[in-house]
Amino acid sequence: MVSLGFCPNWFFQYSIFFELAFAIITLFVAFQSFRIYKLTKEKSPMLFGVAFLLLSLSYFIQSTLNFGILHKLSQNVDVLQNISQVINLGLNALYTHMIFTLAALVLLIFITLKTKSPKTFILLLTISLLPIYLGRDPVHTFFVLSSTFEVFIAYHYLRNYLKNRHIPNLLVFIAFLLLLISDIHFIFSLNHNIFYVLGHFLELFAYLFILINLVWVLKK
Amino acid sequence: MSKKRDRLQVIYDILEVIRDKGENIKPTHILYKSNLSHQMMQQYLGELITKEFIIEKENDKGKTYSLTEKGFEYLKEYRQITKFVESFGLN
Repeated sequence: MVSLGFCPNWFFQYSIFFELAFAIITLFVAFQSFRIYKLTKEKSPMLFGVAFLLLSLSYFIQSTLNFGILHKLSQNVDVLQNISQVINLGLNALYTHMIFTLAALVLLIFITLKTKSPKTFILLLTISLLPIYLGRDPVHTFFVLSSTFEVFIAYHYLRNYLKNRHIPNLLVFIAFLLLLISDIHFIFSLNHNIFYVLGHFLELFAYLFILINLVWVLKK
Repeated sequence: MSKKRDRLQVIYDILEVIRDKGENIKPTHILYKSNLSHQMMQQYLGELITKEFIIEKENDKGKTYSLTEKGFEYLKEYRQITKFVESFGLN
């Protein structure tokens, strides 16, 4: 069987379901953010919604393209042609996921900075995407960049919790902390692919915490 | 209390005053009830008009304000709005 990079072969089909679950949860968060924006006309819920919509798109595209890879691998028509198509699909999935995720994280950083200047956002996005296109090791660069952004985001939510010591604020802080730890696991997955599995489970717990918080918010 | 929370709370207070008074409240009454400076109140009223939460009418007695459907909706969903904004650190 063709090796699927840093994802263990046995986990590949399960990872598609994980990514689909992340896509649905993040889409739900985006939908609720846009609803809050519609009610308040405040800018931050709108930007938060766009960030989660980008995350949702990144997972949907990754999940769909990975499903395409699985489908191609199940066909035993022309092995060589299949391998080249699988590599192309894999690269498309990876690059789309990286670009959308970085754009979402930059937007979340932009919200935490509380700046109104779009120039700051454009600058942050440019210096985040350039190493992905120009660097020698885009995947490693992506995980290092996203981990760095998540340190800042997790710190913002820690401060938010310390300011208002409520359980929902703690849940959101833990969720972003888990996302940070999962990204660190993904860095290690480049050498030991079991970390890829652990990273997915940590991500799942992170999004479940966000979902629990959202259910609490919606409760009358 | 956080800055944005205050903003959302001030907007809530202004809308609540207008709702409780019924139709066509005068700015002096809003000023008295909302506990804001005249300049701040004018800024908030301007913002609420732009956001279509209130409408301004002018007659021979001066300006009056009343709530729109969006304004009523804001008051109804205020608890959910603050819970969302606070927990996701958007304040």
